[in-house]
Amino acid sequence: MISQQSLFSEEILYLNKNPNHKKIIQNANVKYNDENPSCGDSITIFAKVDKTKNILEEISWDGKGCAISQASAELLCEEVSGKKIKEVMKIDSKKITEILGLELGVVRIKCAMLPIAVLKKGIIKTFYNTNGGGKYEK
Amino acid sequence: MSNSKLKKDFPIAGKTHYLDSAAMALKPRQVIESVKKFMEESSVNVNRGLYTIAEKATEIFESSRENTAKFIGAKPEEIIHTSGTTMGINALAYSLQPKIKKGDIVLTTEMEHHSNLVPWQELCNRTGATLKIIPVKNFVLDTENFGAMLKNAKIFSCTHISNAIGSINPIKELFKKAKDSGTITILDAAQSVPHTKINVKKIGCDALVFSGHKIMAPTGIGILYVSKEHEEEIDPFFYGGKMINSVELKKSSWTSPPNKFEAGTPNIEGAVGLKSAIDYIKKTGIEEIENHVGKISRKIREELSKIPEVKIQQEENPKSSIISFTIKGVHPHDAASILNEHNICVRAGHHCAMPLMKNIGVIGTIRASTYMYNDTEDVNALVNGVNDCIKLFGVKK
Ligand SMILES: Cc1ncc(COP(=O)(O)O)c(C=O)c1O
Repeated sequence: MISQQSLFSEEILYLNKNPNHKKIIQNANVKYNDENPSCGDSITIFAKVDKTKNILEEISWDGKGCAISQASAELLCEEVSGKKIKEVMKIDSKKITEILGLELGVVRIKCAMLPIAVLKKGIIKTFYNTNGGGKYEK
Repeated sequence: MSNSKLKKDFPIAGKTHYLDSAAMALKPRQVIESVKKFMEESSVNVNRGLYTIAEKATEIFESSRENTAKFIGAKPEEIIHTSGTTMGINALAYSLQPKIKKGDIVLTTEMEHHSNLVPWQELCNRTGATLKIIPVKNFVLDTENFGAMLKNAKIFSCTHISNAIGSINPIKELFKKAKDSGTITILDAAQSVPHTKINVKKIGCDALVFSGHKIMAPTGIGILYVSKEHEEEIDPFFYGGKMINSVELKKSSWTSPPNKFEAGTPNIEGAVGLKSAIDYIKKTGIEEIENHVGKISRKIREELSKIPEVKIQQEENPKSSIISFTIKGVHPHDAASILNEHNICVRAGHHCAMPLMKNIGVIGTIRASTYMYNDTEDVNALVNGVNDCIKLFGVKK
């Protein structure tokens, strides 16, 4: 009846079954976990940041959750690895839905945003020593 | 009860497989029309104007109260209009506060909707009382220590039917014991009123709450029943116009119940819709509705049980309108999204019952829930949808 694009494209399903970045980076200097209380999704992000060059050198994730949050974590890792921190902090919901190639409603967008939110909070907490609520400034 | 004829009364039921009535019931045209008619013909304030339309509006509003009273075996003055179950419970938590002191026990269960847990946590924080929780074991209340738990219990608030796992609690038995030990009994009837015959006197509750929107009325209207003996002695929880006897600059006195508890302009359209919704239930027959809902829910459980990847997360032989389940390898939210692509509406997640989900060891479940307008087409659609979830995501058992 209500026609719509499927959320579960082959790519999303593939990423769920074959996550490349789902692992622990032992010597990460950013390690942060957060969850989405409404669905119990939980994501931990591990990242190695070069503080002098302000570059995110390596990133991985671990956790459990729905297909959208897991696929988003995978694609985020691909997107940000090697990027300048300043660029990473600019990633917003528009960018995330673009990377995922999905149109997401108000509920599912929270799933998609969990990994980037965790990464940003982790960076802020580690290098700027606030609770992640603060505004990022270079 | 002719289900196919009845389905035509519900504009949304014909457009989708609506299996989320535990969250909110669909509205029949009769309810929609009654509210429209009231707004066109009589929408002026109640209990104030002396002109004819105002008297008419007051009459309609009060007739809704009488209708609700009859529906649950109460007296009209015991029926207080609220905005819903949540407001009713919070109202009680404030109104009963003067009766609660440090060292008293407030008793509830591990099976509650957050709205029947958090207000009691907060009451205990305000008063120094202790919150005790009846545990859940294998999806049912473990009442082994209930007798001991009642010692010093001033309040016992319990759900009739769990919104998350559909367990039906032996409420009469529990309330009898509680009342015998002098405990005030409160029933969260949000999930039972839509399809269970309720009589407050037979149940033995001192207070009962439910939401209009779960029985086909508009949102923003709900009912708080408080038995006459308690109503007289408890304080109002809300102050303003309509609830006063006399007002001086520095002090005031209250009018008698139920108006004592209804400060301000009430949700009149809501009450009109509620009356019409209850009339619709009466016309259809509450026993017929209960039978139909029981039958169709059983059918869903039977069909889902045949799928090896599905686990029904419920007590043995569940009888309620709620079907709570998980699918191996499929996150409940993904299942709900896939079902949505099949034009099926279900709820997925923790169902505002996080402690209960922890108890049964899941992050959430998929919940289908039925009402009078559901039929075998909805059952078949759901089963197909669930099979599709497994095809897309599932891990073979
Ligand atoms: C058992 C139970 N209690 C309380 C509530 C809260 O009702 P409302 O949100 O209408 O206040 C619900 C609604 O989901 C419920 O199912």
